[in-house]
Amino acid sequence: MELMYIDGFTYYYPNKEQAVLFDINMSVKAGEFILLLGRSGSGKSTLAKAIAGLVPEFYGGIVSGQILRSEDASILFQDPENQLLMSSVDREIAFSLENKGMKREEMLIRVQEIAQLVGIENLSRQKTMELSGGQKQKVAFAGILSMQRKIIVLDEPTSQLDPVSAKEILEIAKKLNESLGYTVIMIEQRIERCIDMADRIIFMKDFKISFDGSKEDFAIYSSANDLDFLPPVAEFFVNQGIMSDIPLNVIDAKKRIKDFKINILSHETKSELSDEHIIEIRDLHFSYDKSNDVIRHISMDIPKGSIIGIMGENGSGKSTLLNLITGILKDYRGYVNVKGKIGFLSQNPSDYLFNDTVEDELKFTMKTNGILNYKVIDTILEDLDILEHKYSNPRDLSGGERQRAAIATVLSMNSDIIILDEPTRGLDRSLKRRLNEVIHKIRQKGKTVIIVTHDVEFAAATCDKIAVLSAGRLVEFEDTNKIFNKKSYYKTQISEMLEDLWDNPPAVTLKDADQYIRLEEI
Amino acid sequence: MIFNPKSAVVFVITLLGAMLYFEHPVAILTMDILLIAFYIIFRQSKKLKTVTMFSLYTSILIIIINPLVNQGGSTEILKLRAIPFIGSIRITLEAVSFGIFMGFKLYGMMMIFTIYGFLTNSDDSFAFFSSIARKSSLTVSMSVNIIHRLKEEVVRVKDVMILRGVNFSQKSLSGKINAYTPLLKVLLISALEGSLQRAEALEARGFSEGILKRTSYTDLSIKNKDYMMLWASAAVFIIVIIFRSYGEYNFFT
Repeated sequence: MELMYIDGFTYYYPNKEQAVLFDINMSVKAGEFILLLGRSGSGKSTLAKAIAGLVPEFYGGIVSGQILRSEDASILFQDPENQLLMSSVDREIAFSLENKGMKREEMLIRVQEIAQLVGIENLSRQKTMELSGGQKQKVAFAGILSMQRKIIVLDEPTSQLDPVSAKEILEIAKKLNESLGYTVIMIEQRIERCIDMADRIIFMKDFKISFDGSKEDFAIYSSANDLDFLPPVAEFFVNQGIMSDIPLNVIDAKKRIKDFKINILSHETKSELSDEHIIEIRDLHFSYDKSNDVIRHISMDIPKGSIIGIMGENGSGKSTLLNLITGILKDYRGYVNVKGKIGFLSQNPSDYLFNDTVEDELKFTMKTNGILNYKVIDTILEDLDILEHKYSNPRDLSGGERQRAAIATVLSMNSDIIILDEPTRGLDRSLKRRLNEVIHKIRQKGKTVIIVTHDVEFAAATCDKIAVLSAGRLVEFEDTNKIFNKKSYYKTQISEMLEDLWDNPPAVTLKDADQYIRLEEI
Repeated sequence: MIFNPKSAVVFVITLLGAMLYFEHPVAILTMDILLIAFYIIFRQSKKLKTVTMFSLYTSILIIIINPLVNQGGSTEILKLRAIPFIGSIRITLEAVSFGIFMGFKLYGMMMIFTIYGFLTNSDDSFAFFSSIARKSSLTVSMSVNIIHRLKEEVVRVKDVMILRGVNFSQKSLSGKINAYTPLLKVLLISALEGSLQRAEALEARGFSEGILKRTSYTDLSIKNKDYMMLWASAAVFIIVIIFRSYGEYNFFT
């Protein structure tokens, strides 16, 4: 049964000459799970808002074509902070029911039901501002379910969350779709997390729908058009020239690889890290309240010119460790020796951007650091591929460009150590690849880069060494390949696919697998 | 103890009216003392401390500026002649007294405004005001959200600025202004962006279409404790009528 039909829909934001949706034709059927894919700025979010009735109703603008609905849709946004409207969890869930004019007695029952459905019944009396990011997103999810609409649009609902919380949100979406018959339309950058759930994939390019079909057909379409939009295991098979029965998840990949003879090309893996240490930490302890240590017994040496990843669950002490290295937190026990100037990029690039142009942002940072040679500005912007935006207002840039503008301000300090806190949040695959290149360019200039991230695939592809924190302790600090080869919590899709075949798989990243593994038909 | 927003609004307006009406120093001081007692009874000493500190700075400004600009009164304490550009300044005991008691009055009003915050639940207030003020409550909700976000963002953005080389510990006023201006700019722009997203979330949750038929999740009926609050408001009103002569005090006659 068709719940929605979009017929030749074209949309311009107010005062804009460029259409952000162009001739969109699609239908939404009851019980479908649609994955809406596309690069940053391709029009996905605007289409999601059009489906949810916010475009053009909330934004205004010019429209042609029409959207016919037999069922309305509700929408969950990326950032839980900005969509929580009430101060307590139960009131948040009840907000939409209040707007519908529902009687109080009925509302009390519905709120309880929805809280149970999302698994937050134990939080119902809590204040929303006291919750963790994952809990907040679950509450926001419950809030949109209380709209009592059978179509749910999820606009990158996991981009701000750690892997455990992200998995929980995706499981809720799956349960709603499979068990309760909700129709789900989801935008997600990390396709490997959710392609299994999808019945259908819509791919957007240049504000138009360029593909609409099954995920199996999308695998062929993606490889034929060099989209780089498949999960790493699928990309691996495509890159090996295998175009039939492309596996889309690790379980299928483990089965499929057994159909081939695997040849390993000889290669040497040697660490080229310097013996000189730019950061030395010995038996570091720290406590916020003078009684419970949140950092315990941490000792580590960070080689000069290396790229180091710091991973760990939320609350494992990553941010505290960063603040100790940067010197923001001072009252510690132990020894920290930082032999160089630090540049720091926080999780939110917008924290850096307040001047009228990108050039002024860099000039401001250089001036505060006593650097008066503005000639390097062009070089920095060119290295980051944003020279064309030198005179643009940084707040007008896209997410990926904003992030590079913020990195540019950090680089303009001429620091020896660059620290990046969750730099891949909300970035699509191509932007992550570009960020990877930028980080390696920074390293080539002799600088040391420290990256705090939950993104396993990015860390594996970028870092020389990984430090894993748990409950304030450093539980592992080893070469990247060793970390992801172990039977541990952190695994890339490639290492998971190969773990049954080797104790020490020859590759953990797609790049290594493409370089060192050749599949041959048996 | 949380009260119905209706009775809390009546109580606060009555107190505010009384504080505005009374001019006599004894009445102003009595009200201040009773308000302090009210905070202590409701175990809000921490909030009282914050209000007191905030009012102190503003009151001191009034106490200093008022005698300088108010030349009324006959009991002269100090007279300064031939000050360049300003001329002569005459400071009188009446103007100083007036400034001091206006400071106390301002302190009382600050306490009254804050009382509403701890007598009611913010979500109940949102429900109440959205039923009478319609879409204006959206503005209020957005403003409250901005304040909450700003508290978190100030710490984060300040750390970012320090690591970017901004020196917040400068002693000169111009140095401090230069350091804090970028921080304020970032906070302002981020707050505006956040508010737009919040308005969008309100729209997405059916707020504007449900504005005329909204019901409330919590029981907003008037209970015994709310009647007590209304009786207390009536008592304040009666006291104002009984002591109405205290509203006509003039410092300068």
